[in-house]
Amino acid sequence: MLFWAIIKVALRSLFANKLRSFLAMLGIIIGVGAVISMLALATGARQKIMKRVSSLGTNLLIVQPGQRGFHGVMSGSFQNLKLEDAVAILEKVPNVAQVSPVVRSSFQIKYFNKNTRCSTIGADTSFFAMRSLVVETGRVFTQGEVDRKVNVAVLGPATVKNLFDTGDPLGKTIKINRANFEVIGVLKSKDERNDDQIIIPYTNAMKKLLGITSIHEIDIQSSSSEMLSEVQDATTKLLRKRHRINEGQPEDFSIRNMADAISMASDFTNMFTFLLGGIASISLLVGGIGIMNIMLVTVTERTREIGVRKAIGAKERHILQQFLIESVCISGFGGIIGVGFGVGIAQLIVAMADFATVVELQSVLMALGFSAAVGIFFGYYPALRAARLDPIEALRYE
Amino acid sequence: MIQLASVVKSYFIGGSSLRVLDGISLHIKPGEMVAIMGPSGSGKSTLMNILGCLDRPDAGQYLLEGKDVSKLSKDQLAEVRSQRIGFVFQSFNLLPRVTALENVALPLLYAGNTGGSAPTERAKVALEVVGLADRMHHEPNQLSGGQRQRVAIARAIINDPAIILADEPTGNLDSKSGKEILQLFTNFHNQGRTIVVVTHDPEVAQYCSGRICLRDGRVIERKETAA
Repeated sequence: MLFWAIIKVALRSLFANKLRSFLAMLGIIIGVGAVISMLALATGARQKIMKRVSSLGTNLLIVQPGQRGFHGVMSGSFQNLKLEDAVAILEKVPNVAQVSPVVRSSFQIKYFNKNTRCSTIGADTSFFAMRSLVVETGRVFTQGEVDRKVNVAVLGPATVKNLFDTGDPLGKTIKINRANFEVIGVLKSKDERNDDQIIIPYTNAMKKLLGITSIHEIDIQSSSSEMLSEVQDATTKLLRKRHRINEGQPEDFSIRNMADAISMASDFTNMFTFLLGGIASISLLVGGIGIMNIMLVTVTERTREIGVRKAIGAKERHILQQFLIESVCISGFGGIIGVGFGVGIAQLIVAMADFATVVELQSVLMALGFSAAVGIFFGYYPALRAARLDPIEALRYE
Repeated sequence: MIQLASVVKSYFIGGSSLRVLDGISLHIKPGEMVAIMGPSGSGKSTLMNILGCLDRPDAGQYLLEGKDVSKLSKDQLAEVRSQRIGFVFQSFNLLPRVTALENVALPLLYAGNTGGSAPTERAKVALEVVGLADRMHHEPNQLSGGQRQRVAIARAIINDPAIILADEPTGNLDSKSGKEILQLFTNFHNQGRTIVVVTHDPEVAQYCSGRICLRDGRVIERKETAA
């Protein structure tokens, strides 16, 4: 009952000075709004980056040839990754689920008068599953087609659009570097990087298009993400042995670990979140100082009221509570309005700048809690000053 | 009811100490209505502050209803004020933007729930006693000076205090309202309440049964109520 009575008093005095209360709130509104919208921006960015990174496929190791170089000057890659390496990895390294040799190049692609240049990837049938690529229409190539070096191609949706516009590509024949390939499937749209590419059997790409015997990359999928580092170690060991690298010598290949890439990306996005959240928190702090200022004025202005309350029996804690609740009301309402404001800003960012923003419940709760804490922290000193007032002095105050 | 023994109170002003109360001893019996009189600077207000437990004496003893309140802590004094003392000020000191009813109920808020009927009900009764039942939902700025002082009196009596302390209660009122207020006090006095009125107006003092005259921090005259 006492509590509600005090809240009622606090609200009444806030409403009695509408403009002033609003101005005091404004600092918190802007502060909370900034925190909410910045965190939304950071979360949006994180989700986008994580999606992109994890779209590379989890449990994935990528073996690439080492860079040929002399005293730090890089001059192209070794051509020392062989198909046999890929086969050996699949056969000898435990906990390997799938392996795909990969060759890459960029070719001119033609369909009648349409022309485009895009990345052409020669891969095994396992490549699609490992990179989580799914066909929208048609099918992927089969093991038989790989073995027989059949000229078939799976196209990314962006490539299809470039070559066929809205027409149906299935069964059509396109020219890759002047060789005819039949389009057998179209990939589902994933992200910009994966949408504009053509995937053909690696056998074909090596023999007919590129005329090479080495491969550019070996993709390895471990049976589980826990096994990833074991597989990586075993693969390193196996390849060192196969490439006859003596102990202490540097490797002529490198293995990229997708889990590392994910943790790196998450480190980066966490830093981004802290940075944006931190900057926004400063404005919340400034808002708190505004509250403190207003509360000090209020206390001075209401010295006489405090004196009266004390004369009729209010203890120090009653006065303290009253003014604390008042400042928490300012910051609390400011916080609630600020959340609305922040969500609005986040929507505006989406509409105007095409950034993804995600408002998380957790950041809303955090901002609200923080603003209430700001109210308590910055309201405490003025409230304490009010509570400590000498009733005689306060009653005499004009 | 009230017993003061050699009460001393000094203030420091600009480095020098000023002895405002210089050994005051007095006794106020239950049911007495006493006027404390004296020229300005005689220590009336300081004495009133000490009687009202707003301040503590530097030396000496103050027994309120037989209980020594001269050594109590600030919060304990607040407790005494909320339970045993009713204040009536010259400038009413009602809270603005708060209805008469809520103003009257305010002391109950700080006294904690002392049982009995609900605070609003008790405030209504108190307002009826001072004859303002029809104005209970008005805010102070909608009331006349006399009406405001009645609200203040209702607030002073709501906790059924041991003493009512009135500091120049008629100082801001026209003579007609002033007389009404004094009549109200007289009624309370007749009901057996203890009332202390600080004033320099001899006319006010005439309503009182007893009188304490101060000069330079000492009691120079004490006229007690005939038993």
